[in-house]
Amino acid sequence: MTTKTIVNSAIASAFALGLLASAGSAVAADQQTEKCYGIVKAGKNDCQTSAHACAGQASKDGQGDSWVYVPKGTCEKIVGGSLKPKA
Amino acid sequence: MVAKPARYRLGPGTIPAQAGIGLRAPHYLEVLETRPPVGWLEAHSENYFGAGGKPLYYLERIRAHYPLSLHGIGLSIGSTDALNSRHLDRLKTLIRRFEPVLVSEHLSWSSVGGRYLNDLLPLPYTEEALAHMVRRVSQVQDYLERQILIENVSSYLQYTESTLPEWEFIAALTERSGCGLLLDVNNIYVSACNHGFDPGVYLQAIPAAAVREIHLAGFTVNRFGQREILIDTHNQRVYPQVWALYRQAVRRFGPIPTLIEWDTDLPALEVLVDEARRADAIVGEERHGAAA
Amino acid sequence: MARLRELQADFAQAVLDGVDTAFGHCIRASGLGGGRRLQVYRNNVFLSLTEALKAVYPVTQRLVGEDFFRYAAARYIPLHPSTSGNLHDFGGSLPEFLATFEPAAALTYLPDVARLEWAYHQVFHAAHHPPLDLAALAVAPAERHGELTFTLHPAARLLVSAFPILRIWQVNQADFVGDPTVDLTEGGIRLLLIRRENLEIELQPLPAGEFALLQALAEQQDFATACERALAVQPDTDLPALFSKHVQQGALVDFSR
Repeated sequence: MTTKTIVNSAIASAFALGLLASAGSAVAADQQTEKCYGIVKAGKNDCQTSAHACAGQASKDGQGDSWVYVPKGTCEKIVGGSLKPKA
Repeated sequence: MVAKPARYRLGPGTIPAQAGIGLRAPHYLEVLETRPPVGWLEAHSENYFGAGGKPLYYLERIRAHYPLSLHGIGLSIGSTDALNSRHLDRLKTLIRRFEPVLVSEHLSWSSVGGRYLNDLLPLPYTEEALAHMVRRVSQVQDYLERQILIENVSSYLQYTESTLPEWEFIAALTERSGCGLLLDVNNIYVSACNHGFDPGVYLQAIPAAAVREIHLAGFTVNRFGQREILIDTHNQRVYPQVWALYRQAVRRFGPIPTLIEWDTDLPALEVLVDEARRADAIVGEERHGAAA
Repeated sequence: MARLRELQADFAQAVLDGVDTAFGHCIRASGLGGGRRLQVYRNNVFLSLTEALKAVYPVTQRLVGEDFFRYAAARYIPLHPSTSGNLHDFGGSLPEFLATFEPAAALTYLPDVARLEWAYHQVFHAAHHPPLDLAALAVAPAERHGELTFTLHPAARLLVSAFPILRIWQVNQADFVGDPTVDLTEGGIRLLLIRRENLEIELQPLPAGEFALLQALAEQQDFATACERALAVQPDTDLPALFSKHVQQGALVDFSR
């Protein structure tokens, strides 16, 4: 097929659906598609003045306590890659 | 000769002189489904600055059932940077769409040199800062073509250069700009404790006719050795001392639309409704007391 | 306004940059010293900006842990300060920052996971758009079809990574059950993030040809070029099926000649 034929048949395919089927309606998506139903993210502009506002922990980070600066989360469950920084 | 400020009106509709609650995302569905018995709702303007999606979807549906107030956190009205025109545009669009009865901002600044600290930072109470605030509030009211309310903030420091007490600064600002007042009674209490002034004196100095809304919230006490500092955390019920100050405010200003604010550690909707009920009860008691 | 401007500049510098200006002398020391009082603001500014980042990047935060995330945020905030009074605008450059953040260098996939989270955040707040006007498309002359350009839905984003970022994202959702181990040798992924009419967000893995088609259209290439690119990377790409799928699902919302 020439590109032109492909292009025309691709555009035409949208009409094969029939103009009655409204575009944008829900179509069964691929099985592996991740759907995030029911998530309403909290507004970030709420006045969340922290109760820790004067605990002083944000004062001088970067000095000492170097153990804090090692990632310690679920990254430990990610395997198969190089865990060393690239030289 | 200073020109008399233009007097702008509030938005369409009215807010009942009854307690309302802050609308927060985790409560959207429950508010829609149960329609809690509160007089009105207040939303944080910036949470609805997006172009679409769920926040606007829910606000639209909820708005159909309650009078609305839009409360801004980020306009940085006291900043010496030029007013952020993008922010103002988004606010104006939001006001057109949702027709809030009240629109409010803070007596504070949060940005300088284009950098935002996204916090409600205190202004020095000087003639210079007063003239600046009057100019800025007028600019915003001219742009939005309506009156805005300005809220007093909790503060944790005072500037050596301040020459006016906060209450005089606020009284002069309302007089010269024509803005209304959102009096945060919790903030008065928090700042009074932090700076050692009498909150009753503050209330007495406030021009009663300017007060359009009252805020109530909980605070947190932090201790440094012998010293305490109160932080405006919006994370718990209103303290008894603040209820007492609210009662004084109701005596002085009459029934005013009052909002229960709660942001950190948001509880069940029912807790907010219960706090709103307590505010209404105080208004009721004072009304009967006055009639007796 | 000169003095007020100076005071605000000094305040911001003391808080954001930790620069020891003469600002301390501007604070009335009653009970608590000026430094302590300023510290309340400094902590609050950093904590609330960090909270805003955590809200956009929950998976990134889970991957590195809370302490490390807070440390990274404390480095990020003064380098890429907030420039908006709306906290939803803050944090778009965190993926680029993480790519150069030495303590996270071993986590090669981390910037791409953060990119996915920022895209999700943008899709969440993006504008609505009505579906493509099929009646208007029907009257476009067939011989000009190849010259048409298309517009992606404002709430759609395309993302490609050399790492299995969808799997990493899935196992780090709060409601995930199962084996949380991810093997990086699983390889990369091409993704379409799209918010549907019901306002729910979908993350669709796409084959190479389908991704190339949408990517070319998103770059405003004409339809013929987009089709050629898709076939070049994947000769068996079923273009008619894909075109009708994305018109019907609402990823393609507009066209122009």
